[in-house]
Amino acid sequence: MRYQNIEDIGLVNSFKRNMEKIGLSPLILGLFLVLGVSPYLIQDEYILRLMVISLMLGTLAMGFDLSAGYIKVANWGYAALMGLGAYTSALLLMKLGISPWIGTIAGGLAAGLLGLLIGILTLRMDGMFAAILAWFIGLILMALTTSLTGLTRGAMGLNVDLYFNTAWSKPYFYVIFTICVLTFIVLRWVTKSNLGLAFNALGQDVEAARTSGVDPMKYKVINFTISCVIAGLVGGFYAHFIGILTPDVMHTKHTVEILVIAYLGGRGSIWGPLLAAFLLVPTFEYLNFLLEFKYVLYGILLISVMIFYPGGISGFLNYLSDLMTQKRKSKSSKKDSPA
Amino acid sequence: MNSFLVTAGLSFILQNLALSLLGADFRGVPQYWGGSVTWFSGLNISIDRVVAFLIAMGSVVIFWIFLKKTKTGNAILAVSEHETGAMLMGIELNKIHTLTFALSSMLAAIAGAALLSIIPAYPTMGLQPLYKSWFVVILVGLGNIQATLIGGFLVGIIEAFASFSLGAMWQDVISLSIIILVLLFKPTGLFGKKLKV
Repeated sequence: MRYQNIEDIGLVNSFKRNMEKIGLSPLILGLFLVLGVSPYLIQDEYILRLMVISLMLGTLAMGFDLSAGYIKVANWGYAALMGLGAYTSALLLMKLGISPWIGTIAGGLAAGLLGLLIGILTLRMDGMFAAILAWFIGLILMALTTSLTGLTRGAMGLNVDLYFNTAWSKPYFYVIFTICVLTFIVLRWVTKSNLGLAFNALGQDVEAARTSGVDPMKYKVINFTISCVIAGLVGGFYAHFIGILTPDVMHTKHTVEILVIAYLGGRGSIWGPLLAAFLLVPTFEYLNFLLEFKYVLYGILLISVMIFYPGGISGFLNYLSDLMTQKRKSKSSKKDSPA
Repeated sequence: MNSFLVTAGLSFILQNLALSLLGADFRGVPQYWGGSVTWFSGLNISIDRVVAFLIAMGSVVIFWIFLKKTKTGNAILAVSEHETGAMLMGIELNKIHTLTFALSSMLAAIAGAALLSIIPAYPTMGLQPLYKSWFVVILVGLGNIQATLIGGFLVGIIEAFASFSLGAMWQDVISLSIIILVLLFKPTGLFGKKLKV
């Protein structure tokens, strides 16, 4: 419908239209291209590593945003689901010798399965129940990984083999970059399709959505599961990127990190959290000397965003672009009108 | 949802402030009142525990009377039953929400202070009680004060039994399986009446 006013002739326009179908605009495509070649431009290993971590947290925040921004369920076990993916992948490699590439996908599937179970159990009720149950399950997963020393070596941590023989960040950058772009495209495509419409409707008013023939249970569970699969995938990457896996990855404070990034980026936009990750992760990396006060800042940031500007970065940018189009329109209408 | 996140952010700030300003040590009093009460033959209970129990029971009774007998308490009950209806009767929803929130925070603080001699204070001490209070509330259903008393005892007995017979590690697993069973077969809780969607 909305493409009708675009003249559908020429290579450029048809390309643009096809890109828009999967949720990429020329601007976003350009930014991704710049990001893709940046490892060749940036020689500094430290900055490259920071970028890998930003991409990782950005991908997690995008996945988190799918359930927090659309069906309004904040998944408090997100870090634990990521840890589950990481441990699955690592243990598959170490005990059964399965390639880390398959292991990463298996990690995603394991997290997705757990997410499906949590979703089926709790999504009939208020979003709070899903949040709390996911949190409990996360706490218990952490307790189990700490105490099952025979399998996971407990708090001593696992030494996981990396994807590649090198520890330089460049190849890992491309792995997480691929995961990130794929996640982005899938999420944009999902949220622009009928599924996304159903998610949005459920987030706004469950009863009204049900009346319009949207099955709340079904769509909420689909949404929750997709979001959990992403956590597991990134978890698998984490295991084979960092190389050391301790139960601490499942700690709630990591969920809060993701949550702050997602909410600062703005709910229900998918690209907002990714942008926020690139702003927040380096900032907080430079604030590492503050120790615990860093997390105090995280909390203050979360509260102030929730109270003063719930729209977040994406809300702010959308507001700016709306303002620009309005100005342009009023200018052109002035030109057109005779008086 | 927003209030939940703000609370979570606040707890994060408090925890980490406590960690950075007071350190991770345990702080507490060994005992408020020394001595113990002998009950039946050979069953000794320290006076601290008895007093903590009395404080808990006293605050529950006072709270219950407040909810049932005073106008404000009735307003809280009305809001929990039907928000729109309560609003039409001239109850200010915002005030009641704030008051309820403040009262529940107060009860939590009373519990923390009363148990100080049993559970010392440290930055993340709130996690276990939070976890357990959710367990109780899911078990008995929302909005039912008398039933939470029974639920509290039930949870205490279940956890003590689980850690006694299976080991402390499985205690949480047992509680979680019970939560899952309750959610599966009776999502309203054991004594709950209606499902709040």
